[in-house]
Amino acid sequence: MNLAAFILALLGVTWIAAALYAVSVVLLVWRREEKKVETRVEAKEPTPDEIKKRPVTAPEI
Amino acid sequence: MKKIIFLSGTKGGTGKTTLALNTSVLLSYLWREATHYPVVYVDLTPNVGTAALILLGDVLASWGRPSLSDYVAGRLAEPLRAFYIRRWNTEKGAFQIVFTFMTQDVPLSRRQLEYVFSVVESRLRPRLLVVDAPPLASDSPVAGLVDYVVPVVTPDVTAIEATRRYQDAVGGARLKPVLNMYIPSYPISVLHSAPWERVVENAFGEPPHVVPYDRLVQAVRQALEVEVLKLKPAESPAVKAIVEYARYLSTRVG
Repeated sequence: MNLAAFILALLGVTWIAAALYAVSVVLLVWRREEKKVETRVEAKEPTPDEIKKRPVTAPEI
Repeated sequence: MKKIIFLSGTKGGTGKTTLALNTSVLLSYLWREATHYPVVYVDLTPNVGTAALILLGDVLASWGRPSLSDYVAGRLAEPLRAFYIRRWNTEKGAFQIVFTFMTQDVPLSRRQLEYVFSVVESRLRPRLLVVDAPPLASDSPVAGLVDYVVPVVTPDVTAIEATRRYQDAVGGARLKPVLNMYIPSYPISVLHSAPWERVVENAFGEPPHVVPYDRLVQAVRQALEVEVLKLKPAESPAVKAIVEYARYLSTRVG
């Protein structure tokens, strides 16, 4: 979409090129945020190393 | 002193050790003020069992230490020299568990085991002695020496049948069976067209206590730690189920 916007701008169709460019930027930002949310969910589960470092707590019985 | 074994017959990898060790630690904590050595854990797995490794805290810690196999081989006159204490300090007070293990694969006779149990009972006076044995055959030295048997099965027809057949060979009163649902994707038995809970209930005449699949338990095992001391029941459904089973054991055995 970025490339198409550039070509359209070269051809002189600046209004359509600008709109296309704006849509491509919005799509890029939106996808990056989605990926960040996914990595946050994965990071919630502790690894064996993190569990090893946890202090011993009184069991809940 | 009551003696209990977690049994899967000839099947291995069913979660016997996980359940035995975690309930032993929970009961040690629960009875910490009632007696000095509430629970004694006897790991009969040759070449150092998983529970012993976790209690020792290091894979190399068994090197050079006397073990129960030294007593069995005649290198140790006093079996209590092969017993160790693991102590934990928590925000609600300290508690401890006594344990022993086998460093070598030596044939253990019923008479030797009976003597070890009698020495433990007279000298340590625990409330409970937990036997963690490798997959058993019918001529196991443990046969006839335990008061209670906990069948531990997985969603597998052969595991359920092997456990059901060998529970009578070991003797002792059977407690509520445990179904370790370590395969969450297949909750229905295709052979029985019924949920695994129903299959186990039909085999043992009692609905099982289900321990659900939990990735965190695998992570704790990799860290060589005790699950109930590192995970809260709120974050781990398997730990929650193990705590519930330990409460049940405290009412039946304690």
